[in-house]
Amino acid sequence: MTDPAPAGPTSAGAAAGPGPGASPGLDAGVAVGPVREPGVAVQLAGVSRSFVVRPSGSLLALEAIDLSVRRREIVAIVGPNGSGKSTLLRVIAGLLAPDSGSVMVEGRPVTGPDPSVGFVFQEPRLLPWRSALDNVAYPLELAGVERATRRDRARDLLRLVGLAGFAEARPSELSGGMRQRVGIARALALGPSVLLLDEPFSALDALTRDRFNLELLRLWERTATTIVLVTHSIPEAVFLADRVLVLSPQPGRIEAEIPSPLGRPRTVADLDAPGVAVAAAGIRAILGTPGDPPSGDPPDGDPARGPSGAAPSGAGSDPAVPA
Amino acid sequence: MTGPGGTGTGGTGPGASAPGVRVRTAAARQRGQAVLAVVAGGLAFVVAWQALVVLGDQPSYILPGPVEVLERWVDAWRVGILQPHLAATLTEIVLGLLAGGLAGLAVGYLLARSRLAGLVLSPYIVAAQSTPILALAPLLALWLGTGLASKVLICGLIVFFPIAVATMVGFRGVDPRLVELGRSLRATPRQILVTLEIPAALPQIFGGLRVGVTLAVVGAIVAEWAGADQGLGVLINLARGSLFDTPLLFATLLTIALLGVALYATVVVVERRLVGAR
Repeated sequence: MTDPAPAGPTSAGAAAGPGPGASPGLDAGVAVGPVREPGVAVQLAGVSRSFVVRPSGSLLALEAIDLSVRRREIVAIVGPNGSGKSTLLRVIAGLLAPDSGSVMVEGRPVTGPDPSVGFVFQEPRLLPWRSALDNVAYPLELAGVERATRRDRARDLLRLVGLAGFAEARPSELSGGMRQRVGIARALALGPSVLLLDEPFSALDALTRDRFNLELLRLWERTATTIVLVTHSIPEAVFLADRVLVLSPQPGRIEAEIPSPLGRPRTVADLDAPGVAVAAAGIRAILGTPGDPPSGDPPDGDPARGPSGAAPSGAGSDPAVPA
Repeated sequence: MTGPGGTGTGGTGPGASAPGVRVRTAAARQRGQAVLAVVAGGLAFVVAWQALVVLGDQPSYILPGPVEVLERWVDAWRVGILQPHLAATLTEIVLGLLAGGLAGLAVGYLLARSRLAGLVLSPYIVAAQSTPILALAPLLALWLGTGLASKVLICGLIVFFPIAVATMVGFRGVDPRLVELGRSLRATPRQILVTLEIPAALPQIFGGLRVGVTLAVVGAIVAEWAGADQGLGVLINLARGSLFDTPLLFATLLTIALLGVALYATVVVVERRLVGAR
């Protein structure tokens, strides 16, 4: 399936030209997150989290994570399977409670999912019985926003991700890339100041993936969000992020923190910049792998498989149980 | 028992791409062919039936021919023999479906949610379902009288099981990742039920309803045989036992069959509206 929607954000981004936050006129009328001020958006101190494993005992997924993400920063998290990347993201999102340590988002302690946090899952997770528009409007509907208002806003968001013409399409009628765009638009619906992305483009082919990474940066420039993103692709991490955190295999600890050599704004050319290769090689050396980990690995972000779906604590997410 | 056209491409898509249009015309052509096949099959059945009567030289009281049955049906309808019985049976079916269906939905949901409820209730539910309704019906008529109550109960009992099982399977099959999405958006448990779980379980529930609605017809007839003064089941007994009117017996069977088809089609139409194209 081809993805017939590059016209939107790509061309708009190109028209916006260099300079972050340029040309507010193109902002598609989407309300930007909370006021930008210097400071810390996400703060973790001494966060640990373990999971009960079926036969006996427990498995330590995260150990003593200290992390501080500044407002408007992009932080990428890389690490092998089972290093707790998805767990870390879910702890920040308030979907999993840490066993110990503290989590703060925008200066508030996290006790559960927070409206200032948007989550983009590895799979689009669209409701198949809803149109693209109604999927994007879904968070607003849950929040009790009036119908006309939420549809207007959803329309703006669809335009922002280049899907203006597909408002009434069902997820089954969209390509994989378009579905993930809808997922991103939905994550932006409540105007979050922090966007968490769990391997959002891992299901896409390499070319589409490059384009989506660029579009994500354009989106970031326009929406004034802080981004924490999990990825398996080291070059992708270096290209997108200001900082790359390397997690050690089980239990997940922050092994290293590598600043990206690239400035902002970034362009396609930066994908192949020599600095990227050097930084990526450095990260690979830390991870002790000769090459990229195989892509398309099992979705280790799966939460509880239990019938209730209400208690993801038992069936661990990241502690990859060998398939 | 998945009948005609369960999941058609009914919805109006984005209406954008040419492939979509091609798919729709292909689907329309397929539907036309299906209608043709149904009509042809019906004709073949009628011809074979008539041939059996003529070649076998069967007397009318053993096997009336299709034409005779049709004439009797039209006549009975015009005189007004069929209508009150049809109305009585339809009432029993609708009320029985409602009672059994609601109970099935509730118990099915409970079974999906609580492992304990499943362990405790399942043996009884299965045992009750395995008990022949034919044996139970006279008893229930004895206890509850031959009024509407015993009919609705018998009808409800027979409908309950497929709907309960389908509901359980539907709710158990809800993708936990969608529930996690709901939680990440701070949906309340009630919102998760209404906006995620019920829509996700709906296709399975309608599968159970399709089975249930056909069983409801059988349940109503069986209940009427156990004692009633109106209903298509009563008319069958009358035509066979008191009137020796075999053509009327066949006309009644035809009415029951048509009623079943109509009810099933109603479920399919409602299902298309609620489940739609996914």
